[in-house]
Amino acid sequence: MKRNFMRVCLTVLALSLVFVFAGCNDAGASGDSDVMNIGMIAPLTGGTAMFGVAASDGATLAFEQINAAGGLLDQQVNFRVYDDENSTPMALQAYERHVYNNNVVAIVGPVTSGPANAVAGAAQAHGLPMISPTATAEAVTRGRDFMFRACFLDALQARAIAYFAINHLEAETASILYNVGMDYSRGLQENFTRYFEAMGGTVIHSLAFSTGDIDFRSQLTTISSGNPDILFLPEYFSNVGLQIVQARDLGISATLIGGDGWEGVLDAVPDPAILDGTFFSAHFAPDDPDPIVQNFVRSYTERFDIAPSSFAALGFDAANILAQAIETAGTTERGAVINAMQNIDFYGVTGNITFDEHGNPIKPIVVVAISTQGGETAARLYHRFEAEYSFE
Amino acid sequence: MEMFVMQLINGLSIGSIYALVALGYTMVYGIVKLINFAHGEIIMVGSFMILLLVRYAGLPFIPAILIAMVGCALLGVLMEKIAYKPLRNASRLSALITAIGVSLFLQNLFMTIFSPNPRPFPAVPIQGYVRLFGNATVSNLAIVTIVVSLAMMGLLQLFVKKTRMGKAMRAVSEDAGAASLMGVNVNSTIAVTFAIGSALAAVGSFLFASTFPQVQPFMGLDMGLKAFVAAVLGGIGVIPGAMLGGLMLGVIEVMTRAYISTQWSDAVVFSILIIVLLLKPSGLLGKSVGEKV
Repeated sequence: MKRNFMRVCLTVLALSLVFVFAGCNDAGASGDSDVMNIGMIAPLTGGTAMFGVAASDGATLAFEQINAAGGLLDQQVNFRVYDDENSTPMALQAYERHVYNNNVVAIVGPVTSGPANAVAGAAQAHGLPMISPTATAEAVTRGRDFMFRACFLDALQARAIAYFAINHLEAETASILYNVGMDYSRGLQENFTRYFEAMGGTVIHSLAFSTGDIDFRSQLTTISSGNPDILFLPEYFSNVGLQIVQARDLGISATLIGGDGWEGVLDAVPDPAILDGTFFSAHFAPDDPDPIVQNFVRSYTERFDIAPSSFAALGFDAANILAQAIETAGTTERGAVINAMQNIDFYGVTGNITFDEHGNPIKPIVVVAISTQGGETAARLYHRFEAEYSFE
Repeated sequence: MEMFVMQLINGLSIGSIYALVALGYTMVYGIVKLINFAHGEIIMVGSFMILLLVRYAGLPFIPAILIAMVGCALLGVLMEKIAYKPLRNASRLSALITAIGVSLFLQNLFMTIFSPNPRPFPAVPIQGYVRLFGNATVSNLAIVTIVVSLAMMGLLQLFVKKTRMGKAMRAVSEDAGAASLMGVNVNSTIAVTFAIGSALAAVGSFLFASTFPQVQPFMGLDMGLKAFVAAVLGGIGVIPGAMLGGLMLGVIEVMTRAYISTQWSDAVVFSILIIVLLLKPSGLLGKSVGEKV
C-alpha cells in the first residue's frame, strides 16, 4: 500500500518535471532576442483545408524569403502555423497558444470568417496586430483597430463586376442565378444588382437556388426567355461548372461572368472550351506581367510544386504587409506596429494596398478572361482596376 | 407557350432519370419487401465506373456503359448475397438498417479512394441543342435521356410480362413460399431482380452524370431519395407506378421552380407526396390488398 503510494507520488513528480521543462523550453524560445515569433492560424485539415494550406504556404514562403534576406529588425522570424480546422474553439485555442506559449508579436489569420471573427473578439483585450489574408465577413474588422485584412470585400467586388459589365462589356441587361443559402452568393447578388442598376443597367431575372441543387435548368430556361446581355453566376467553381454546362445546353448565349469563387472552374467542366468568352473577378492573375507577380509565381511553384491560388497570393501579401509594418515601426511594440499598418503603402502580388479606417484594404481588382488561344483554354489577365476610386 | 414546352421537357428529362432509378427501388421492394437505401449508391458507383473507363482507360461511351451495367449488376447481386440474404427472415427493420449501413459503407469507401472532390464527367459527344419552334430549344442530351429511359422501361415491362424469368419474378413477389412450392428458384429470382435493378441504375447513372457532369462520392444520396419518393408516389412494388411517379416528380419539381418559386420546389413535391398518400395510401397505381384473416 505504502509502496504503491510512493510510486504514484514519484510518477506525478516525474510528469510534472516534464511539463515544467517543456514550459521552460517554450519560454526560452520566446525570450531569445535573436528570434521574433510570428504566428498564423489557418484550417490545415477539414473541408476548408485547401484554402488554409494555400494561405499558410503563401505566408510561409514570405517569411522564408524575409529570413533569407536577413530577417526583420535583424532578427530571424520564427513562423509557426496552428490548425484551427475551421472551428471557432480550435481557433481560440490556437490563438492562446500563440500568445501565451510563444509570445508572438503579431498574427497572420485566421483564414475563414467565422474563426477570424471569434479570434478578433478575443484579441480585443491584447490589441495584438492581426491581419487575416482572406476573411471576407464585414464584421471581422469592424470597431477593431488592431485587426486588418488583405482581401477585398464582396460589396467592392460586386461593384467592380457591375462596372466591368457596363463599361467594358457594354451590357445593358443582366440576369443573376444565385444561391439563397450562401452569404457570399447573396452578398454578391444584392450588391451587383444595386450597382448595376445605379450605373444604368437593368436586371431582368434574379433567380435563386438552394445549397445542394444540381439541376438549374428550370431557372435557366426562365432566364433564357429574357435574353439578357450577361448572366452573373456568383457561386463557387464546382456549381458554376454545372450551371455553365446547363446554360450552354439550353442555348443561352449571354456572356457569363462571376466572382472570385470561380477560381478553379477550368477543372470543374468536362471540356474547358465551353468556358470560352467568360469573365470573372479575382485577387490576382498568375499571368500578370508585373515582375512582383512573376517572381511570386516562380518561387511559390518551385517551393510547393503547384501553381499558387488566390489564397496563396493573399497569404503571401498578408505576411509581407505585416513585415513591412514592423520594419517601418522599427519595433515590435504593438501600438507602433498597428500605427504603421494603418498608414502603410504596400505593393504586393495582389497590387497596391492601403487601409481604410476599418482596416479594410483599398486595392485593385483584376478581371480574368477565359479564352481559347492556340487550342488551349486558359484564364488570362484581362484588365486590372487599379483601385477603388478608378471606377467611381 | 415556348417556355412551357421547354420547362416540360426539362421536367421529363430529370423525371425519366428519377423513374429509371425508382424502378430499382420498386422491383426490390416488390420481391423482398426491402427498401434498399443503398440503391442510390449504385448510381454513384456506376458513374465512377463510366468515368474511369472513359477518361482513364480511353473506352468509347457505349462499351463503357455496357461494362458499368454488368459491374453494377454484379455489385447489386453481391450486396444482396452479403448483406440482405442472411437477414431475409429477420425483422424488416434490421434489413432496413443494414441497407443504410451498406449505403454509408459505399459512400465512405469511395470517399477514401477518390477523395470527396467532384471530378468532371467526360463530355458525351452529343452536345448542342435543336430548335423546336420559335425560341423553344431542346438539348440533344435531354432527348437522349427521355428516349433511352422510356426504351429501358419498355424493355423491362416486356421482360416481366413475356419471359419465364419475368413470370417467376411476379410469382415470387406475390407469394415467395407458394412460388418455391411450384418449383421457382426463389434465390436466383431475387438475385436476378437485384441485377436488373442495378443495371438499370447504371444506365441512369450515365444519363445523370452526363446531364450534371460532376462525379463525387455523395452524389447518390439526393438522387436516391428523390427516386425513392417517386417509387412511393407511384405505388411501391408496382413497376408502371415507378415510371409514373418519376416522371410526375420531375415535372412537378421543374414547374414549381418555373412558375411558383425556385425555393419551394422540394416543399411542393413533398406536400404532393403527403396528399397522395393520405388519399391513396398505397400510391397512385398501388393496389391495396386487404389482410386475409
